[in-house]
Amino acid sequence: MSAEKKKSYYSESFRLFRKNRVAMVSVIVLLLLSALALLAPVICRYDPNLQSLRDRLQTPSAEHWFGTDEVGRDIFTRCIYGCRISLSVGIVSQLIASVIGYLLGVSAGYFGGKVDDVISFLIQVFSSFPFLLFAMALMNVLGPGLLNLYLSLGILSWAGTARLIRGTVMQLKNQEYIQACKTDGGGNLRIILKHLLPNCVPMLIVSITLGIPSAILSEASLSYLGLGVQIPTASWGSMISESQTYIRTHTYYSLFPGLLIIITVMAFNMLGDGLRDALDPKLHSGGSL
Amino acid sequence: MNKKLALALSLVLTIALLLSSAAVAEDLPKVLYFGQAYAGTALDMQISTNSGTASIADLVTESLIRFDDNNELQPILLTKLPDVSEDGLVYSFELKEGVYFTDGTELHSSDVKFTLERLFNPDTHAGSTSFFTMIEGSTAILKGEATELSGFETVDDYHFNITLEFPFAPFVKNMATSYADIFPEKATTEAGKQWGLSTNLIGTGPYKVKENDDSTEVVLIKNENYHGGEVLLDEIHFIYYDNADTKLLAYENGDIDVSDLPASQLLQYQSLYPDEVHPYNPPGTYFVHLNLKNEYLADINVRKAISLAINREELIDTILNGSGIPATSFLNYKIPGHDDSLGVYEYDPDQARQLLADAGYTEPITLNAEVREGDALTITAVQGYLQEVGINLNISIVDSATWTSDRSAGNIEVTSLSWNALFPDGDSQFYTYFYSTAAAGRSVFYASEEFDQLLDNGRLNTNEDERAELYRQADYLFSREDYVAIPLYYPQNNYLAKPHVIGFELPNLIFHFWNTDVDAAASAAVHGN
Repeated sequence: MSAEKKKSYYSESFRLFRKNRVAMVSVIVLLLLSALALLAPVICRYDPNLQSLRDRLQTPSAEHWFGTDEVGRDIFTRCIYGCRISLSVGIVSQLIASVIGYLLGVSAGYFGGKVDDVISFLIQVFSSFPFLLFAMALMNVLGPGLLNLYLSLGILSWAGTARLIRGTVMQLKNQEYIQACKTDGGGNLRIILKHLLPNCVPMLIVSITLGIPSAILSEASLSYLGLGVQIPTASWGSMISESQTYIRTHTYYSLFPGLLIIITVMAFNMLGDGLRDALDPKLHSGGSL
Repeated sequence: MNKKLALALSLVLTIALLLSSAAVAEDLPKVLYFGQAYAGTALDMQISTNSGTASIADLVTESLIRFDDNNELQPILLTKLPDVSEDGLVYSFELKEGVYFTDGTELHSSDVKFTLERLFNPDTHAGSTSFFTMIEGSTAILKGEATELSGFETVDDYHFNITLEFPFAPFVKNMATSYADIFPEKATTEAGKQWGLSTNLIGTGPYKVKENDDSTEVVLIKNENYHGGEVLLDEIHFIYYDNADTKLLAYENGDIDVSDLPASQLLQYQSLYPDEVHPYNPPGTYFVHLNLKNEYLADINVRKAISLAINREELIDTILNGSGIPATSFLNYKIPGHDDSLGVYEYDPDQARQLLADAGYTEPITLNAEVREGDALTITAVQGYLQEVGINLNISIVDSATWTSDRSAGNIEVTSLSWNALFPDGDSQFYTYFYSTAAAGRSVFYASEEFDQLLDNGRLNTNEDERAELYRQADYLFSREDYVAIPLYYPQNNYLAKPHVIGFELPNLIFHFWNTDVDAAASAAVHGN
């Protein structure tokens, strides 16, 4: 693939993507959420863990935009800090999953034979296990904490990526330019990183984007069950778990983290859909890649 | 003539109708549904120290003597309270004749002897042997040097004497706890390690175990031949809920008739069901448990700083909705030896910070807390206070079974819980948790010769006034000098009971349904039977 053609592929994708309004709205929403997460210490007037028992369970007001929780912490502040957790868990765990997924997928597809058998078996095992149950077991072993969340969600969600990559690489490896590189004396590592990886990037982008919302939901579920981040760290899942006691008397408490989860997950899903369409060469006006 | 006939007929009809409706009410089974957390232990009160387990087990297995609903001693399997010799060493017991276990065997002196020997047998791993180690020969069995209890003298099937190594004032009271429930020799031996699991629990009590899956529900059914007379309820269902919110929803939904009520939800339920909320004050203390083996907690300055950092009055006013009394020391105010002259623990975060700085902690220190779900809110509030003075508290919430096993293994750094005496006596509140040998098995590791000595003396002394003084000293040393644990408040607990539950009293922490009845018709309307 020539550099010129590659450039035109991505600029064509970008053009298509910009035309997709839903996807553009998602991008704006996600940029906004990311900005909030990054600037949390600047935006928030309170420490997310600062308690004020006398001011507990207050309804939303100018002082506390989303009200206060059961020990008097500012819910708005905790939602914003929770955003940091959710986004970082989503992104980091999917990056880990992509690295593992790419390496295993490409090895399986490129080398074939026994290597393929073993990796395909692993893919089968990991994708047939009930995800949340597996994650709960792993978190139980590793113990609660942010780092362990990254790890366990990353370790558990590479199988889909690996399967995609494996299929693609099996097609690509017989293409002429790969054969040419081999004849030219190019090593396996060079082929995998320099020639196969660029061709898999669009696929990886889509799988990361579509993997993030499920990772965010898994984090929320695990934190809800007390297996995610450690108390008192604010996480949307743990906030919902703590708020359920007060759901009938202080509905707003569970409402805000719940809404944020819905918005974030929807935005990532729509973004992923938009990216998939935009990066699909079949939909490009200039013909196939 | 016709009128008279009509009148007579209608009278007959009315009576028939009344009789039939009475018959229906009579036929309705009286079933009580009770919700509580699963303690994760067998229903064997020699092994478990959990009040939830006792609530079930005590209805099946009975002790010789017990505390009634007014906290008065009452002979149950005995004809009268035991006689004591002049020197306070020999207690003579007389069993009631014709008391049968529900497997059909009669209660004899040999069953009592078997029960005590099983309690001390190291293979049993009993949790509360310290309640009974004053019995002569008990130590030898505990050490594995003997199998027979030398202090137990069988006179005949219904008479026996127990000799103590030293006069021990609360001996009869200890024999009235759940830990002294009497087991049938034959059935217990046959069940072996399975005793207390599934339906392997047989006693003389008013109920027998009908179903028990050791995880979700225990069903007790009336013992038709109960020696204590007619049993009021036909069945009691104990349904396990690990989550308090789920339990309360089940209560509102009518799935359960009685449930405890966390203080955090007191206001809400007082407004929803003003006639169904009932308070009670167990002789206990809510405290922050510290592990003295932890590198920071070994330092008394850190422990003192923790105490100074917590505003007990604010804690009670806010998250507890006022249901508690700020602690002045560890010993509950109902227990002889409690010092009324002590004020509430000081709240002074500045002094706490100063103490930590003076002790060389310039950076914030981090501690790990592990609590059960019911204690999460309080420990979160404590975490907030500690953060203010430079102590980070990481909190993990675990299920009861994990918590119990981690605590026995010595792995808990910080936790919080309510520790209740079974009856108002200093020995009962202190010994099983904080005496050096007990403290080592509960993740405390407090070992003070002086404190142990005071508790030992309290056990030897039979003069109640002198004993109270000993416990006052022990309490001061423990609470105000060594800061072994951080007492927060003396709890006022609350429970919910549906209006059709009759005659329910809660004198201590254990839910007993000895005198409880239900209005079957009203209950059926709720449960839809």
